[in-house]
Amino acid sequence: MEEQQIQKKKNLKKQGSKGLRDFGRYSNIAFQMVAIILITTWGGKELDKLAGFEHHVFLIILSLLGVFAAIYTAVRDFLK
Amino acid sequence: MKTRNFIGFFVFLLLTGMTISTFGQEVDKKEGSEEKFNASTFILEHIADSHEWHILTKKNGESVALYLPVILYSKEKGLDVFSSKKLAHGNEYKGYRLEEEGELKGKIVTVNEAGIVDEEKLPLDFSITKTVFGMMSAAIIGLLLFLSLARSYRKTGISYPQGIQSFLEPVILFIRDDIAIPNLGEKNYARFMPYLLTAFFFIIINNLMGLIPSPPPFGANVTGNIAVTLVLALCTFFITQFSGNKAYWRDIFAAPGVPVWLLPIMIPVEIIGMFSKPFALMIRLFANITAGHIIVLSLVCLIFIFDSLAIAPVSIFFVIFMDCLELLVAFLQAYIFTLLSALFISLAIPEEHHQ
Repeated sequence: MEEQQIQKKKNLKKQGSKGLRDFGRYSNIAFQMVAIILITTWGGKELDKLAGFEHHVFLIILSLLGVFAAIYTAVRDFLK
Repeated sequence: MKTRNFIGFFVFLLLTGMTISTFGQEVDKKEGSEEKFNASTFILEHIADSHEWHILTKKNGESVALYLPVILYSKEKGLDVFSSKKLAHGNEYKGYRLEEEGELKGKIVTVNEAGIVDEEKLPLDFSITKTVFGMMSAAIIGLLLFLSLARSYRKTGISYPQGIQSFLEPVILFIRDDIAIPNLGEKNYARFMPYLLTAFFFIIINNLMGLIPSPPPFGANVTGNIAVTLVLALCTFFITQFSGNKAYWRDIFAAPGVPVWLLPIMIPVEIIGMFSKPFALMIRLFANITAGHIIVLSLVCLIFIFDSLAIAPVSIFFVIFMDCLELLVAFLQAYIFTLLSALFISLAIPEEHHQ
């Protein structure tokens, strides 16, 4: 009887820490998406400045790549 | 038990009250000099790093502050070490000045004889600033805690936990059993435990010290400084890259199942992913801690914005509520940083990966 209770307590504890772990993992996916888009957009802007382009070629290409990369990594992390 | 709870609550109230009285005195000074109270500069000054540690301003306008050492190096003048008191109130010393306005605000600049800033010859600043001092104090507190823990283990051996053991042992076991082993696996976890424990306790001690408003060394916004979180995230980044095995690098440069024509797109995406993970770590810790400090300070500022005592009880009530929330955030952010570091490291050693 006592053993069962201990096991029950252990299971409850496990569930609690798993919830916290999942919270950490999934909130990270959102943060990572933002980070990827920020890094690529900033990189594109700086490259445009460096190359002296007026039409923001790098900004357009890199920010689109950033959005794609963000979605790709988010989906991949979800599946893991 | 009830008495203990009561004492805890009393200390908490005292500390929260201290925040308000400290701020109050500073605002008095501003009103005395007939400046309009500007909440945003007031808040930003409190969360920013600085060369002196302002404690309070007396009614006669005199400020009580801890002046920290300034350490400067420039090619022309060599190494200079002096107290930041010499640079207080816009004074010049040895051809240096602490800028109070403009783009270089808060930075020490070189000035020529005419008093004009030489922007090309900025000195390298290795000063012990508020953040550095806060960090060093956190390290000392951490060392004291863990050295006394080690001593008590040496004395009593592995028995039932006593004193500080009963507080720290469960936390260490929690990191081992709930973070390290589930992510890194039984075989690998021991290798990374020193880093995970160091990161966790460094962040949590700094978070908690940042919540206590005064006196020094408490109240520095260490984990809300992006340079500090950058270095922490870089540690995780380098550990991840250097412990990465063959499968990890293959996934980045030649992911199995990806057609060759798609590789020119996939390789940059994977490389961006490599950097975005620690970048997210850096931003999260910085944003959470800074946001908490800004909210608490804004609530205190409400009293001075409305210039009415009637707002004070409401403001204090919300500050206490936010402080409780911040206490939770302090633990949660330290936990999440450690958890994600362990997760990122585990992604770099995929063959041994256990979930």
